[in-house]
Amino acid sequence: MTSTRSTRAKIFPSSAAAALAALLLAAAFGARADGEVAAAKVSLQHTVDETLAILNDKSLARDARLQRLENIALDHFDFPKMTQLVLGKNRAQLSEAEQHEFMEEFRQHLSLTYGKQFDKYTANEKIEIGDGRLESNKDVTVRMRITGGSAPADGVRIDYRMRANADKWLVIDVIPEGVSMVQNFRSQVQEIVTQKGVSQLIQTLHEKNAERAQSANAY
Amino acid sequence: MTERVTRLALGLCACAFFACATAQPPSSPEGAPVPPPADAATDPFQGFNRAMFWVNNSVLDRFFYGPLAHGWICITPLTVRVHMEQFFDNLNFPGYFVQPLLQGDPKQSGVALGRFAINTTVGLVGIFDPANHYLGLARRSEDMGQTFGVWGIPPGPYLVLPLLAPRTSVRDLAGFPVDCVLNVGDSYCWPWLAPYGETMVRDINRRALADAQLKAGREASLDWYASARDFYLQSRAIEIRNGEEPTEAPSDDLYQIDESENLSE
Repeated sequence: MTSTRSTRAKIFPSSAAAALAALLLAAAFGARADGEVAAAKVSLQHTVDETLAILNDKSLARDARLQRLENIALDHFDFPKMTQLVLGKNRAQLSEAEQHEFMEEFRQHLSLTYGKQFDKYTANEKIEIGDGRLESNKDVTVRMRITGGSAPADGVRIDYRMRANADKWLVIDVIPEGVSMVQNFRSQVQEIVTQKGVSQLIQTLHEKNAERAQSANAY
Repeated sequence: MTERVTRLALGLCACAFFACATAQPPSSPEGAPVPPPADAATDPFQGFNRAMFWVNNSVLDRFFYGPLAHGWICITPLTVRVHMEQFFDNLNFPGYFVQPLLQGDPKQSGVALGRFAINTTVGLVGIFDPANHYLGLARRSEDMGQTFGVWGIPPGPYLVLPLLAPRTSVRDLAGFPVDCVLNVGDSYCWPWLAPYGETMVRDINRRALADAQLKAGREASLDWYASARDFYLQSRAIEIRNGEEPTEAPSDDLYQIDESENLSE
């Protein structure tokens, strides 16, 4: 009898301790996951606030406004990572310098093509940051919804995939209505490499940018 | 509605890279055979597809649909164009009702029935959408290809055909005869419903509604054909999931940066 009791007494505290430890761990992990999602959302909210402040500042000329918006993008988007993702396995065929050149051209391309989307802004848009989701690789995807103003009648949903880089949450993909921009550019890059060879990749992007810059100056 | 319009119009648009289709694949310096492209599985008919894309975009859209759509934009306010599209979409009711039944989702069929009943009467033959605005019965586009997808049939090769725009794969083409009968508002199979060429007005109106997105898409692309194809395939997958989050993340390797690639230099 005594031996049974003592065994039980021994087992009980140890299993209780294990259960408690497991619970604490789970709680800690849960809290960490929540913390990551919350941190990513806060970072995106900052980006939106900064962007709106510039868009609402009527004293800025168009060029100055675009320049500031570009600076915000540089602060909150992880261009090197986006470039790596867009290049995919073709990255191995480019030297470090070429990768850098591609990134610069790609950044310019995005700014030339997406920058003017901000011209449509009417100040009646409502931007809501929705739920965030922790992905299996620790990225966080945050939902955003734009309604009113220049947005379509049903509103538009844009998701942002974010990754922590030295404690800073940076955007690595923009996903309007579920269509990943990284995936879209990646398939274009793959196509250009397949059709014309990797040497033509930077050239194609460069020509496109030169063409665009010229037509922008013509206005 | 916007995805449908965009998809239709994308099919009618320009390929600036037609020459690429016929270009020889690059050969490696040693003359060794170049490994097949990663997307050979999704787009084995690329030569044909690029040719059709060129016809749709650089001929039909450039000289016919595009100019007519721009004229249409000049003479109609945006509200007219939006409500005209809602009228045609309301006629897709048979498809929107039957397909969810085949997908084992009778609740969605109920939504489609409710939408049709309310929008056809209160919404003045579908021109307005009170079912969504006041009752929250949201529109969901359905077709045979999506049902095939829900049944687990893979999309098969990507396919571009002249005029028949939103057929993005062999699977969706197989569903076309059914859609032609059921999705009345999208179809060309009901001439007695549209004896005065209303389908032409519908198509030009859709092209006009997608004009801004098309322009942006063309400008932002490095290879418009590849960009449009990827847009089709991604939005089609979303339609089949009915906008739900994917249960598993098939694209996780999309976000994987393989560091070993750096070391190989």
